[in-house]
Amino acid sequence: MSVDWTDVYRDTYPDLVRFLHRKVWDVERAQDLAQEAFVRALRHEPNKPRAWLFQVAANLARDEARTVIRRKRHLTLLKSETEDLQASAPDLNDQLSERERMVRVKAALEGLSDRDRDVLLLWDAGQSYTEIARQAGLAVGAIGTTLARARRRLADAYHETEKVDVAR
Amino acid sequence: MSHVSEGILHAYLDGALDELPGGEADSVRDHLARCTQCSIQLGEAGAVRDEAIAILGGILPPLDMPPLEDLRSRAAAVRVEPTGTSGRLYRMGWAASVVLAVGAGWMLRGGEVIPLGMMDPIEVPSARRALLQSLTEELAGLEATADDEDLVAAAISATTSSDVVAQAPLDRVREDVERAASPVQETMTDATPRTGLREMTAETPAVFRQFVDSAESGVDQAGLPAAEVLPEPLGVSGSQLVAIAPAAERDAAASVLRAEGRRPDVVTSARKATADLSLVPSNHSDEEDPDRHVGDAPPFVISGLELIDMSWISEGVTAGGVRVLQELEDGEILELLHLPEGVDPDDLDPFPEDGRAGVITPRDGGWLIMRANRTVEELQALLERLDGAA
Repeated sequence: MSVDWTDVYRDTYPDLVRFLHRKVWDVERAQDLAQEAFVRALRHEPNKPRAWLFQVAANLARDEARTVIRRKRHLTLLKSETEDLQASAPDLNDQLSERERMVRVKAALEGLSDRDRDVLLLWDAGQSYTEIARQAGLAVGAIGTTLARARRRLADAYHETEKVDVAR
Repeated sequence: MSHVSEGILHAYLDGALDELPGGEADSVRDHLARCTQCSIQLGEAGAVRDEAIAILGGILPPLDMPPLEDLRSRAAAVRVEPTGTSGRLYRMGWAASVVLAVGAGWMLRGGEVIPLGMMDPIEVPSARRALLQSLTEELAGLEATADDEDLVAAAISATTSSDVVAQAPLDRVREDVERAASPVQETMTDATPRTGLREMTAETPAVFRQFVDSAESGVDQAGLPAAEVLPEPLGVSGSQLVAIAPAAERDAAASVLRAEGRRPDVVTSARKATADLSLVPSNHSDEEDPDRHVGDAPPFVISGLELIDMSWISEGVTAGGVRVLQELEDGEILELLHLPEGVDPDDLDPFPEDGRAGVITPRDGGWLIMRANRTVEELQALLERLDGAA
């Protein structure tokens, strides 16, 4: 079966970047990894490119996370982001607000178990229950339950971050 | 029908009812149209779902799509070439798998010391010999530091003399080589749950002991935290052995059973399997736990498949669970792991990326994990076969 890579690229790349961004929390890195996943897909030409791309992207994000932990790069990352904010004063409020929101969403997502988070992010990136089940190693019938729990916990954790902000 | 569960409500909201097994989509829709209580819960589920969408949607990354042709050019130009420390770690991980597989093979043969060269010698085809030679050169080309020279030398030695590797299908060996060379693959950090098999004797091969010791000491041969390079020795060695030489594991497991006066048998029922294999651990008494005795059949042995082994898990986060190995019709190994109530699957390490798919499903108050060199769909079919027998 021949794959129309133009269609796959147009339909999947945005979802892949969205998925990866919530994994690595760096827009440029997310785009780099999405492109890397596509480069590999173009080399391997898998029969089910979308599922394949998400699987590779998840692996790349996990490797990335381990590398970050190993090298303690997050310290540098936060520093450079702060510098970026200071460098563009006119957009400061918008950026602070966006950054604040990102930090809160990140904190809320990190409060979930790995499995709940993976399933939620795959669903958020537009994967079907069947595709999510295949990638997460769960039965299709367990996806709804997992998503219900993940959504509830995400909302609760997000509200908790609001309380922390108010307390400050 | 009874009221609709929260999971089904979310599947309904996601438009995924028709993807669910069981063909209950229409009856769920009918019920939701008539039941006031479920309608209220549907509204609550919808609010939670909408909130999650709003939270996640609040941080959309800007999109910058390079032309597809740029990626095509990169794909045509790029050659997979692991570099630097991470590449070395991946290859070291592969080397570790070889040594661990050899070590596990030795252990599964009941602790009997069998020189590697005597393990089912076979004629090694020239193509495979060439591949092994290139693999040896690959290993020899590692940028060995003073600290990991011994490790590499051991891996090379194991690779060049191991008939376990030589018995693997050529394609499988090639996949292993490619996996070792590909940055996308994991190192050996994804261990399967511990199975309580982790015992060493004075006769344990020195190479295997070296890996175990270094993993337990928390520092690997290259001075990095062991978790980044080395797996839990026996957890991973088991799965890697399946990946490299399923026949070797099957034969070795069978020899262990025979040595213990048991024999691999075709399972006709889970109850028979339980009774035949005396699942109860030696330190167990019915007084301590009357719910677990020989007569209780575990409902996760597939009838009609040869039973290779069944064992209690006595340590680690999965303690109290049961691990079953069965042989599928084509000789592949099916691993079934039942985690008892109270064990959270999230506490387990992720599945090792050894090419085997896995599914997890709630079962008997606990969880059933099923893994084999099959697609997820095929595993789900096996699950249905299990359900049908029950």
